[in-house]
Amino acid sequence: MNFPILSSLILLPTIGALFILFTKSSSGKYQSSKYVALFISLANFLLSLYLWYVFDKKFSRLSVCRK
Amino acid sequence: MFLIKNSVDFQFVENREWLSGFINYKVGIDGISILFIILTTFITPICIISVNASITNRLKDFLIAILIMETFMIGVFCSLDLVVFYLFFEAGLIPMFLIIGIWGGERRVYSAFKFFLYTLLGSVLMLVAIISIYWITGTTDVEKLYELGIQAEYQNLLWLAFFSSFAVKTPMWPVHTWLPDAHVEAPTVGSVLLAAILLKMAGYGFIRFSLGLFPIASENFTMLVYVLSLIAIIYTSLVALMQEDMKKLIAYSSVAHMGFVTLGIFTMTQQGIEGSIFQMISHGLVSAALFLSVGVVYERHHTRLINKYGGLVSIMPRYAIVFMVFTLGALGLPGTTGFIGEFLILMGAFEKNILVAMIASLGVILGAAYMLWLFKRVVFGEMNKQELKSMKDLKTFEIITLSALVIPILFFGFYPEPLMNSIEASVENTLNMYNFDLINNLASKD
Repeated sequence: MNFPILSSLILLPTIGALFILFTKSSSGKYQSSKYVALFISLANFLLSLYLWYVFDKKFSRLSVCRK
Repeated sequence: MFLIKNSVDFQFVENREWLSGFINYKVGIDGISILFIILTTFITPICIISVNASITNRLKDFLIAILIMETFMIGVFCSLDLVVFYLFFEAGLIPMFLIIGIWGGERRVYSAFKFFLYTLLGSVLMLVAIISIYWITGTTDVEKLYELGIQAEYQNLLWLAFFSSFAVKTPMWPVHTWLPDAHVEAPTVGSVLLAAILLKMAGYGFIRFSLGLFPIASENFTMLVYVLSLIAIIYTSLVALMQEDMKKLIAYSSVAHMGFVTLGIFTMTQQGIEGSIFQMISHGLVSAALFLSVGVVYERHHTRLINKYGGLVSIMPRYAIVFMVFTLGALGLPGTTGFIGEFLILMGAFEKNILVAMIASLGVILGAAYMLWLFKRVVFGEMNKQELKSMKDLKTFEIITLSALVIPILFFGFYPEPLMNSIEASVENTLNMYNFDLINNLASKD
């Protein structure tokens, strides 16, 4: 089976959220959490753009056939 | 020549057993869902950048809520099983409930509960419908259901059950009242997520499920949707004209814009449905931008009342420029994405019902009225309020987020081809399938 790109898109933000949840940030300002969240969401954005790029836009079955 | 049923073709399909024998975790995309996924992944980083100023407490939890929300939203747009769709659709309520309830304004708890109860009530009926579909057909797999079709006698009730959920989420008149409250109380980023992504789940649901699974019922209820959409367009536009709170004005304008979307979908024409999808993407970008713009002045002046502003162009010229682009996008000026969506929807509506199209066209004029009036009162005029003079123009992160939204609004406004190209084949497939079922039903009656 090919790389599960859709499941990756779905799960990546949750993995990011869990990472933020379990990392302790110093000084209470949580700036590092923000960078993690931004990095994860940008990675997801790039992944979705890649998905759009490889998506076959003219993919469709014939709707008329002769008998 | 014989027509054969042409189901929507999904790509990147993943199918795994979940509840063995009953329900599979099945995801896949077509040309329609991919655009909503990109909208979601595009808006999320913009929200995360904007968190900077608006959220001061529990930032970490807020970020977690946004990311979890992204997971659920992407899940909604690529689910190919009704139960999986329902799970993601409902789960999306939780982070939004928390975002409004924890980080909202003074009446946040009231608004959060109103939002939750309204949307949950509609969705419970959808759950009942999904269970019924399982017992009628033996599957909840969307692709299989497209092929099998649902018997005509069950369609009306099932359609109404799905409609009750989607109508609240869209939101359609008269179940729209939760939206202005939720928007006003939600923090800026919450409003952005709500307007840009959450509302689109319903429009997407109408195309994927109402049209796809219940074509005969959709045809029966077309007039109902037209009437509700027209009331939404005209009535909420008039209500928007009267608003004194900027966020409320934009919230009501969202209801009007989504009225165009539902109208376009139920024209069942290629132009109408393509226009609706385009309008949803456009509204996602424009409303997100407008809420961020309101957030910019709210953070500086701590009020959303329109009459507390005026003459901002003299002290915030950069802000005035981007706000103008978003205003023009919202009123559907040619050259912005707003125009393409509304134009295609009206084209589709004219083909089906001239009266409906003419009444809807009035909405475009009203849209121009409330947006331009808002812009005039906030940005133009004399700067005669002392307390405004200390307001600073856009900061770097605001320039980044707002220009990230200006670019697609103008680019796809001038060159919509990439988006249209993506949805064309999928809309055609959906319509073929829809017409096939209608013809088949008529043939079986004869």
